Amino acid sequence: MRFIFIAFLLLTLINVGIAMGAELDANQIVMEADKIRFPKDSFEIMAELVTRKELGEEDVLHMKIYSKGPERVLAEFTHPPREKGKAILLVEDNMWMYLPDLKKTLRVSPTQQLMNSNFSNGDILRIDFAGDYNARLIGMERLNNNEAYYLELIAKKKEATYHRVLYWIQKDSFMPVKAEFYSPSGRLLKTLNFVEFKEMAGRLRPIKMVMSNPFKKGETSTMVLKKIEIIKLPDSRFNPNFLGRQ
Amino acid sequence: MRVLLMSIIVLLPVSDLLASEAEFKTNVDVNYYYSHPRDSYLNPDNILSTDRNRLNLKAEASMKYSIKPMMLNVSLRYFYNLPFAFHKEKAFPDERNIIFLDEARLTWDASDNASLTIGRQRFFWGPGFIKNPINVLNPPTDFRNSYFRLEEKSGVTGIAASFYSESTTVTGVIIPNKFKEKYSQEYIIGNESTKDAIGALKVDTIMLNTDTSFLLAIQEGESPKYGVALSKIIKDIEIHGEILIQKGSRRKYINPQTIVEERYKDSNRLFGNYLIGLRYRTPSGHDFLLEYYRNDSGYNDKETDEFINCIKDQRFIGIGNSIFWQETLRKNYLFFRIGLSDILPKISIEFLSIYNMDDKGYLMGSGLEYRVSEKIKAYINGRYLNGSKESEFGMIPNKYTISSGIKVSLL
Repeated sequence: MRFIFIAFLLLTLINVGIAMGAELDANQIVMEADKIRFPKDSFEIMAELVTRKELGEEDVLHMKIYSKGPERVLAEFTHPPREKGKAILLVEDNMWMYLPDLKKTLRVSPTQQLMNSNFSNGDILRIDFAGDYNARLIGMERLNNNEAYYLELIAKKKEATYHRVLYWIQKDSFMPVKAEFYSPSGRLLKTLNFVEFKEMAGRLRPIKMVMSNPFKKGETSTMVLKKIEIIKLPDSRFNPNFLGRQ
Repeated sequence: MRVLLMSIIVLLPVSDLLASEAEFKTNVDVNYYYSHPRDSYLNPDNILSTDRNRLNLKAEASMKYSIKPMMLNVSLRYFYNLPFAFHKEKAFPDERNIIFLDEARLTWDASDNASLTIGRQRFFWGPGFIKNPINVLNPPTDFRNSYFRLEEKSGVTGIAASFYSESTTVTGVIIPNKFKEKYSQEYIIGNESTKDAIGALKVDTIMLNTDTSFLLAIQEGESPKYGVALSKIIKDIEIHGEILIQKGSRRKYINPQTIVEERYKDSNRLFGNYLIGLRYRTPSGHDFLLEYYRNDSGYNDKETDEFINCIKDQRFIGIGNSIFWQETLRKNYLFFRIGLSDILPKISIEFLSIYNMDDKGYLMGSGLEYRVSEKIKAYINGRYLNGSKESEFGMIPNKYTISSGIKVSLL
C-alpha cells in the first residue's frame, strides 16, 4: 500500500512539473507555442494585413492561407485588385511566388518583403519555429504583467528566415508574446508583438500580430486572423505548377 | 470585343441558376507617344515619314467565369489599341487600329489532379525573363519592340492537358495548323500564314531543391526539339537557365531578288538556343536581373552583311522590319534590368538594357510609375536605341521614343 502511495505521489509530482512547464526544455516550449499559433491539421485561414505608413496612409491586403503541415503552406492574395491572384507557396525548404499576369511561378527567398509590408515571405509561410530553430532558455521575464519564458532561437537550417530570434512565451499558457528577429551581424531587423487572443479552431490563439521595423520608424504592419477552419486539402494544391491552373 | 460582350450577356443570367463565379476586369490606358526618327538610317533618303506624335487609346477587357459543379472555367481577354496619329495620313495602315484576342479558353478541372484547356491560350514556359527558349508554343513578345509588359502577347489556339501530382506536373499540348492566327498582331501586320502544327510534352518537377523542366516538341517538317530548364535559389539569389536543342533549324534569309523572306533549311548540325540568368530581389522588394541569351540560329558577320546588302537600298521603310523575321538577328545578347519598387512613396522605377554582343549596339529603357490610387496609375517610359547604321538596334528607324499616360482599372 505504501509502495502504491509513493508511486502515485511521484507520478503526480512529475505531472505537475510538466504542467508547470518548468521542466520542459526550451525546444518543447517553442513547440507548445507553435501548436497554439496554428492548428496541427490541414487548415485554411482568412487574414488581413494592414500596413500603416508614417504619413498615415494604409495598405490593406487580404489573403487566404492554406496549410497541410508546417512544410506545405500556401498564401493566396485576394485584395487589393492589383495583388489579386498572386500567391506564395512553401514546400519544405522551397518557396515560390506566382504572378498571374505573367502566369509564372518564380523562385523567391523567405527574407523578401511581402507586398510592401513589414512582414517577409518567411514570416507568413515558415510557421514552424521548432523545426527551423534550436532554442535555449535564457531566463524568465515579466512581460505585460505575465511571467514569460525568455528564449534565444538560433537557425538550424539555412532556409530559416532569420539567423537569430529572441522569443517571449507566456509561462502559464504557452501563448507567444513577443519576438525579435536579428541578422547574422546581430542587427535587430524586426519586432513582432502578439497583441490579441481569441478562441479559434478549438483553442485560444493569437489572432492579432503587429510587426515593426526599426528602420521604418512610424510604420507598422498588423496581421489579423479573421477565421481559421480545419479543412481537407489535396496534395496537388501544393504543386507550384498548380498555382497557374486557375 | 463583341464576343466578350455577348458572353457577358449570355452568362450573367445563367450565373443565378448555377453555383458560379464571374470576374470582370477592364483597364483603359490613354497615352501620348513620341518617336524620334534616326538620321543615320541605312539609306539617308529613307526618312521615316510617319507622324512623330501619336495618341493611343488602349483597352483591355477580360472575363473569367467559373461554373462550380462542372468545374468549368471560361476565360476571355481582349486588347484593343487605337492609335490616333495627329496627322492621320502619315500613320502606318497597320497601326491605325490593333485588336487582338489573347485568350478565349475553356478549362475543365476534371479533378484535383487533372485539367483540360481548349481554345486560345497563352503559355509562359521557362524561368527566363527576356527570352524563353523552351517556350516553343507561344514565345515572348519581341523584346526589341516592347516596353516591359511581357504579359501582353497574343495566345495560340490548341488543346492542353495537365496532370498534377504532389511535386510533378505533366503537360501535353497540341496546336493544330488549321487555325489561322486571325486575331494575332501578326495578322494585322499582314502575315496571314498559318502556323505549322506543333505538339509538346513538358514535365516539371523538383529535383535537389531545383525546379526542373524537360521538354519534347515536335513541329511539322522539323526535327524534334529537346529542352531543359532549371531554377534554384542559392543564398537569396535565384539562378535560372533554359536550353533548347534541335538538329538543324529553319533559319530565315532574305531572297535578294525578291526582297521577301525566304525559309531555308540548314545542315543537320545541332542548333542550341539558351539563356542563363541571375536574379536578386532585396528584402525590400528591389529587383536585379542579369541574363545572357545565345541563339545559334542568329546571323554571323557574313550573313549579316548579306542581309544588309539586301535591304540597304530599299526606300520602303517597312523592309527594315524584316529583321523581326528572325528570332534575333545576331547570336549573343546581354540583358540587364533593375526594378526599384516604391523607391519613394507610391513611385516605382525600372531600368533595362539589352546589349548586342556581336555588333555592340544596345537598347536602353527606363520607366517611372506613380500609383495615384488603387485604380489609377500614371507612367512615363523612355527607350533609346544606339548602334552603328549596320547594327541591329541601329537599323531600327526610331532613335528614341517617349510614352506617357494614365492607366485606369474600371472594374
